[in-house]
Amino acid sequence: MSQLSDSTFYFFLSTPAYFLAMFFYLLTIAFPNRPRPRAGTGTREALGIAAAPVSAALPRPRAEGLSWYALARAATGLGVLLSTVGIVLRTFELGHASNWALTVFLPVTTTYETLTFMAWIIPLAYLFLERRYRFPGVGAIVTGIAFTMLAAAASPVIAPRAVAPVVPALQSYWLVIHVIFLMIGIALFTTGFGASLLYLWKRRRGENPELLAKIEELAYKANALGFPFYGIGGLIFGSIWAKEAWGSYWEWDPKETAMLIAWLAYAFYLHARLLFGPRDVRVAWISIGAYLMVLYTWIGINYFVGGLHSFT
Amino acid sequence: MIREVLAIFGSKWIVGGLLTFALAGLILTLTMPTLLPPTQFFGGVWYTRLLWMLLGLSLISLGARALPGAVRVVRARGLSGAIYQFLTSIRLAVVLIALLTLLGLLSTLVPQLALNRRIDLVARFGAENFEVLERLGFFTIFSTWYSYAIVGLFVLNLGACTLKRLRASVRYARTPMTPKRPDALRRMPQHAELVLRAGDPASLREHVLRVLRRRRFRVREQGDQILAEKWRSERFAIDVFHISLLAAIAGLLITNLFGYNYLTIEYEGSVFTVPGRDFQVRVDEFWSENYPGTERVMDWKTRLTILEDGREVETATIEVNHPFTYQGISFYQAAMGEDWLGGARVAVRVVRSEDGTDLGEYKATVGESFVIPEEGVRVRFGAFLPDFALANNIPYSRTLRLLNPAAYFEVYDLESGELLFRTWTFSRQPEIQFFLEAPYRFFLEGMTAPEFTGIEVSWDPGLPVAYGAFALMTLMTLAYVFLRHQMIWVHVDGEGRRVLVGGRARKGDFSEAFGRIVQEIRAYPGLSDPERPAAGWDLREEPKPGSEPEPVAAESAGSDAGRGDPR
Repeated sequence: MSQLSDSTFYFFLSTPAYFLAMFFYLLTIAFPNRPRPRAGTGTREALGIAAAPVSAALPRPRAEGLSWYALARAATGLGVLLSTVGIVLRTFELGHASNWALTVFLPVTTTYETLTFMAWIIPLAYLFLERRYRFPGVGAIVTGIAFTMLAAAASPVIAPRAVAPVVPALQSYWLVIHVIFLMIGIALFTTGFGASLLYLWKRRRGENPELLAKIEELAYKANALGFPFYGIGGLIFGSIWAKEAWGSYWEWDPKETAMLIAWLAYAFYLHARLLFGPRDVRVAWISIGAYLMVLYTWIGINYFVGGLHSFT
Repeated sequence: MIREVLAIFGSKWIVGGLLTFALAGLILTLTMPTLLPPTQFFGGVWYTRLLWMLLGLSLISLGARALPGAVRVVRARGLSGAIYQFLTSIRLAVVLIALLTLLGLLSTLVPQLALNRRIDLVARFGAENFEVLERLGFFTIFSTWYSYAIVGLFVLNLGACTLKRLRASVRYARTPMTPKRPDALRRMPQHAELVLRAGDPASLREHVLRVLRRRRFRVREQGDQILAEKWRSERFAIDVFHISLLAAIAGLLITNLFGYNYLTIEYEGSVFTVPGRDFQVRVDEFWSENYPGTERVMDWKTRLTILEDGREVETATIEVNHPFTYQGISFYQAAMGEDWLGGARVAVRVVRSEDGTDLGEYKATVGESFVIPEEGVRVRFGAFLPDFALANNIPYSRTLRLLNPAAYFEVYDLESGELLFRTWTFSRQPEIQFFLEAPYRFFLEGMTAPEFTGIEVSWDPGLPVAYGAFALMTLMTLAYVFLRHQMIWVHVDGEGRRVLVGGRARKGDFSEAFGRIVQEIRAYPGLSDPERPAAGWDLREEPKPGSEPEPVAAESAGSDAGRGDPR
C-alpha cells in the first residue's frame, strides 16, 4: 500500500490517461458524425481580458450518448487530477528530503520532476483555453505532448526519478517564482504550437476562412499570454535570481542565451503578426520555430550542452 | 552582362541555398569536430574554400543589387533621412534577429572561454581545430567585433523604431476626440440606436453622464453629443516598454564597463581587499553542512568580518543564495573545497634508482623545495594535480577531486643549480617510473590540502538601472494587457427623441464591453429600442441555440493596428 503514497505511482497512472485523451481527440476528428462541439465557438474578446463571463450562447453538443469529445475531455481531466495528486505528494517528498530548507517547495529540481510538472501544467493550460476555443486537433497535439513527456520521464536513463535533496544553489524562493512563471509560459506556448500546426494543416486542406481565423486566434492568444510569463519569469526573475545566487545577472550562460533567443523569437512572432497580418502563413511558421527554440532551451541545453544551469 | 550575373548570384534562391548549406556545415563542424574538422570546414580544403567564395560572391551580388535603390533613397531623403529609414526598416530587424539567433546558437554550441577552461577546449577540439575556432572568435563570441556590430545595430534599430512609434503615440495622444455625425456613428462597428418615448432629454443626459462617469470615463458635452473616453495614454505603454528594454541593456553595459565580478579563493584567517574600497575582509571560518545522514551538501557558509583600520566593523555569514553587501560590494558564497592545485602538501619518499637505497621521507608544499645533502641535489615540488589527465600531451587536472593524484618534481644540482631531470609520479601507478631512466624514484606516501572557500566579489553600478527597467517592463506589460483606449459617443438628436451610441476601442474586441455600457444606458425608464431593430446590435433578441452569436467582423485582423486612425 505504500505505493499509494508514492508520487511516481500517480505519474505512471496519468500517462495512460493522457494517451487515452489523445486517442479520443483523434476519434473526435475521425468520426465527425458523432456529436462534437461546434468548433471554435466562444466569445471573442480583447487580448488578455480573461475576466469576462462566458457567453450564454455557447452551444452544448446535442449528444444522445457520450461523445468522443466528452470522453477526451474526461480523460484529460482525469490525467490532470492524477498529476495533481502526484505533484502534491512529490512536493512533500522533496521538502522532507531537503529538510524543509525552503518553506514552500516546487517539485521542479530534477529532469524527472520538470517533465512530470510540465505534463501537468500543459494540459491544464489547454483546458483553460479550451473553454473558449474547442479544437480537438489542438487537444490531440497537447495531450500527445504531455504523454510523450511522461513517457520520457518513465525512462530511468533520461530522468532518474529518485528524490534528491535540493542542492544549495536551488534553495531560494526564486525557485518557485522563476520556474512557475516559466512553466506557465511554456504550457501556453505549447497550446499555441499545437494551434499553429493545426492552422497550417487546415489551411492546406482548404478549410473555411472563418474557422481558420478562430484557430489562428487561439494560437495568438496562447502565445501572447505566454510571452509575458516566459519573459518576465524567465529572463527578469532569472536574472535577479542569478544575481542573488552567483553574483552576476547575465553570464551568457548557454541556457540564459538560449532563453533570450527563444524570447526574441516570440517577440519576432508578435511583430510579424502585426506586420504580415494574422492570416499569413509565415506567422504560423514563426510560431512553430519559436516553440522549437523553447524546446531547445529547455531540453536541448540540458542534454547536449550542459553548463552552470543544468541540473539533473 | 554584369547585371545578369548579379541577378543570378544575388537571387534569393542562391543566397538562401548557400546560406543553408553553410549553416548546416557550421553546426556539424562545431558539434561533431571529428566528422567535419573545423580546420577543413573553414577553408582547409578546396571545396569548402569554394563554398565560402560562392557565398561571399552571392552576398556581394545581393548588396550590389540593392545599391541603386539605396542611392535613390539617399537622393530622395538625404543621408540622415536614408539612415533613419534604414534603421527603422523591418527588413533590418528581421536580418538582425536572424543574426542574433545565430550568435546565440553558436554561443551555446561552442563552449565559451568565460565559462570553461582553455585546456578542456583544447582537449575537446584538438590543438589545430582549437586554433582555427579561436581565431574566428568562436570561444569569446560576445567579445568579437562582429558581435558588437550586430548587437550595436540591433540597439540602434530598436532605438530608431521606438522613436518612430513614440512620435506616432504623441500624435495619437494629441488628437482630440471629436463629435461625429449621426450617419458616421451608425457606420461604426459598435453602435446602438435607442428611442426616448418618455422622460425629458435633460434627465436622460444626466443618466448617461452618470453611467459613463461610474465607469470612470472622462466625459464632456459638445453640442448634441456627449464624448466619453478613458485611458487615452495607454498607447505609451509599449513605448515605455521598449525604452525600458533599452534602459536594461544600458544598465548591463554600465556594469560591464564600470563594475567587476571575480572569484577569490580564500583560506581560514585570510584577509583580502577589494578594488575601489578602503575596508578589508577577514575570513573567520567556513564550513559545509550536509543533509542529515547523507554526504550531499546542503549548504556552504562562510563567516566574514569587515575591518576598517584594523577595527572590526561588521560580521556576517554568507551562504549560497544569501550574499552580503557592504558599501555596494557584494560577497557571494560560490564554492568550497580542498585546494589541491594551489596548496597541496605531500609526503614523498625518495629512492636512489641504481641500488634502491631509501633516501628518506620528505614533506613539501607545492612550490617549495627540499634538499638531499648526501646526494647533493635540491628537489623542487613543482605541481600537484588531483586528477591527472593529458590533453594533446599537456598535463592538466580533469576534475578537482582526488581521483588520479600526481606530483611533479624537478631535481637540481645543489652546487651548480643545473636542472638534472624532472618527473611526474603517480599515486595510483608508482611503477610507471620504472620505465624512465632516472637517478631517483619518488613515491607519494601521503597528501593533504588546505580547505578553501570560494567567494564571488561583485560591484554592480548598473544594478539600480537594470532593476528599474525590469520593474517598468513588468508594469508596462500589465498595462498593455489590461488597459485600452475606449471612446463612446452619445448623440441625442435635436428633439431629444433618438439616441445614438457609438463606441470604439483602440485594440481588441469592444463588442462585449460596449454592450454592457449600452445596457446600462438603456436602463433609463423612457428608453427603448426603435421599431426596426438597429443594424449591428440587437439587444432584444436572444441568440438562437446553435447559431453564431455575432458575425465575423474584420476587426479580428490586426487587433492592435496602432496605425493611429484619425478620429
